[in-house]
Amino acid sequence: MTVNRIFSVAGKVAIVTGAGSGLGRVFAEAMAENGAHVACFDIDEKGLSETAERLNALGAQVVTSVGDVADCAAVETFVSEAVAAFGRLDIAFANAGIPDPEPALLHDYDDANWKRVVDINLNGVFYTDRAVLRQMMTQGAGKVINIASMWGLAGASSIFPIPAYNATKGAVVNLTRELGLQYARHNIQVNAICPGFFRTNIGPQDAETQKLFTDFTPMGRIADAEEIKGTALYLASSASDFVTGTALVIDGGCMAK
Amino acid sequence: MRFSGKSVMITGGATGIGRATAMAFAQEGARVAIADVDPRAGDTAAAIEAGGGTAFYAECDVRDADEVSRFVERAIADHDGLHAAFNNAGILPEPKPLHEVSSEALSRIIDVDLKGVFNCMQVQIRHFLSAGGGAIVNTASVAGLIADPNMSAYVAAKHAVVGLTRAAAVEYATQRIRVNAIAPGLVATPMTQAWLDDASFREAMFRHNVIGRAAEPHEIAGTVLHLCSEAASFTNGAVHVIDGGQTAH
Repeated sequence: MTVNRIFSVAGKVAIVTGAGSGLGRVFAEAMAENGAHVACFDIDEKGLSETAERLNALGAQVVTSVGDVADCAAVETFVSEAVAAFGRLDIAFANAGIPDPEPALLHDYDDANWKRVVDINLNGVFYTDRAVLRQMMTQGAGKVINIASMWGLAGASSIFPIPAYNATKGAVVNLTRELGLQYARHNIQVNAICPGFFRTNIGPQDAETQKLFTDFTPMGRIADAEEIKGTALYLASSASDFVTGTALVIDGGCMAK
Repeated sequence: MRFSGKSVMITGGATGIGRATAMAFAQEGARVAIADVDPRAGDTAAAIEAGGGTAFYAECDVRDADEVSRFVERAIADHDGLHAAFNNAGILPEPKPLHEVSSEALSRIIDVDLKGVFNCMQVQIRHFLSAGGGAIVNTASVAGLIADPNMSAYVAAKHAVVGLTRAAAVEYATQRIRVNAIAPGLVATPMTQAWLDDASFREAMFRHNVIGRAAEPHEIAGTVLHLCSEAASFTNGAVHVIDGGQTAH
């Protein structure tokens, strides 16, 4: 294989959960821009159809499915529909996630909020990974990309108290390590992306928060959403064929300081 | 092509990861300056030129800061600037338990594997500061994150390369200089050939290594190209592990 093709995903089939907004939409665009077909899942129907329009404009074949990643049956139906539509599944972005609904110290933490974050950020990844790995095992190859966070590698309370996010993203990082081991011999690479602060169409947009994030980041800026595309392409393509069970930090230096 | 119009330098480009990465950079359009003490790096440059690319090889011992400085100056002059650097030159010690490692043996590993990287970074960073930015990728190792037995000097030097990478990443973060490291696991290269030929080594190595094989050098190149490119514009101070899962356990 020539190097010109090692970053290629042309003709591949990718799925993205949480594709209706934020980084999920960007992952879907990164795949579509580089010639992949994309199946998109989100609980937000309007956001999902906007993503689909953007991908169609890029010339990609797209299928969409509305649902909640905390609903195992919905996730499995989505993956089945994606395979039925495109005949295979090469790349999966288990991306859907939520922040702590009400940031709080743990002794004041609300039960329902905790369970909701665990349901989406951890159980949702479990349902997604299990469904896509079943398909990838029949194909003998695949790329699973779990979206964790730099807050899966470190506590966050120097910025804000988000214990459920910390716990679930840390769990996704270690699940990824274990899956890297489990599927290493099956030619399926499982890796995590740990983003720092990115500017997308979701998340806090107020100036005070932006300054907090900027000041925390050694590079002195918040990333543009586009800047995650290169890492997505790297992990989705054969450029990373010997890379598995790792967590890639893309945070402007936050975790190095 | 990712590196059209870009100038990159690579140390340790005669064989192994350095050679494969030099070839990959050239195929992506980069002009490639190759430093090594091993004249076989001339073959790497010749192969690039034969393929229609632009490259030169110059003998350069990374332990010698003046030689490194002259090499970087030539790369900038001949290739119209310098945009990315892959500080990859390194050597392995003779395996020995720590209490038997001589001071000379320790110094030799530290001089090449740590000070060599430092010497290169210093010159590159001075240039990048005046040129408005650049990307550096250092070759650490999984031995920069975990320990192999009987490799104490190497483990120490590679851990230090990880530290040096993070330190520089933080220091120059606002000056458009990104510094990252790669941590390859076992890669089949001339440097590791004696190990791979040793059945008892292979048995010990792969007992807990789920992927059960060494990487080929070209399997490392993709990560280096990614980190050196604009595609990694927000990746700074990161260590990208390429080990088939070796360190996930």
